Amino acid sequence: MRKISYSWLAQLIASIFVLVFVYAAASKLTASDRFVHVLSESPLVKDYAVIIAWSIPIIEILVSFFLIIPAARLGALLASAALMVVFTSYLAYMVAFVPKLPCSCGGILNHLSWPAHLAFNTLLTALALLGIKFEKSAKSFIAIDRNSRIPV
Amino acid sequence: MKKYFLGLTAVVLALGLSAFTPRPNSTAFTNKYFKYLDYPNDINKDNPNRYQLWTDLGCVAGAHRCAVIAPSDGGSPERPILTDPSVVVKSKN
Repeated sequence: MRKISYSWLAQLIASIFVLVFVYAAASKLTASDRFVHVLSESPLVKDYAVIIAWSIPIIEILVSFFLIIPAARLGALLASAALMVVFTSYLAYMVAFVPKLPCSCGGILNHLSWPAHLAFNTLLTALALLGIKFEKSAKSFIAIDRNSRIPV
Repeated sequence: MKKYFLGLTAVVLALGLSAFTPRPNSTAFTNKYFKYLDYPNDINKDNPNRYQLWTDLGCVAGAHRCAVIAPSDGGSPERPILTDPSVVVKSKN
């Protein structure tokens, strides 16, 4: 029962990230000019706006692909956590240090205010870390079972 | 196939949500003509607040900034996004 629980929870969390990343990537790719505009207004990333505008959705799609594959799920969850840390740090910097925030235009998530988006991203970061814990627990449980020679 | 079910469902759901999310009006990002208010003094040429939405003034070329054609930030009042790569500077003597 415990084995199913950890593995299933990790799979559920991975699926949530697949949903978020694929949706976000699709939104960014279908409105890439808008995404470039928003990034070019950010003092932190304006010099790399075009590169970032294309690489982020591609990375999100790649991570989503690997999140679906059970054998690659742990690595993909680690990548998801790293992505969320980067996004959350960027949002925190913008909220804290940029007096005039660029407009957030388009998509369900972009109806949130910047502080609300920051809270949402923080929650997702915590979820990614939880997913890593569950995935590791599921794998270690299976390893213990294999070493015991007793059929489960 | 069962182990991929949840993930594939998430992909389908995400693409469906994305397809049915209405795109916002893109007119805010159409390039517009903004008059530079401090002509012939170029000191404030990088400050978007020193521009005003205007009709074509006929500036072509010269030593001092007269106007820009740039995307609007969609605010009220509208201001030009001067950092956009598509900005065209208009000047006169």
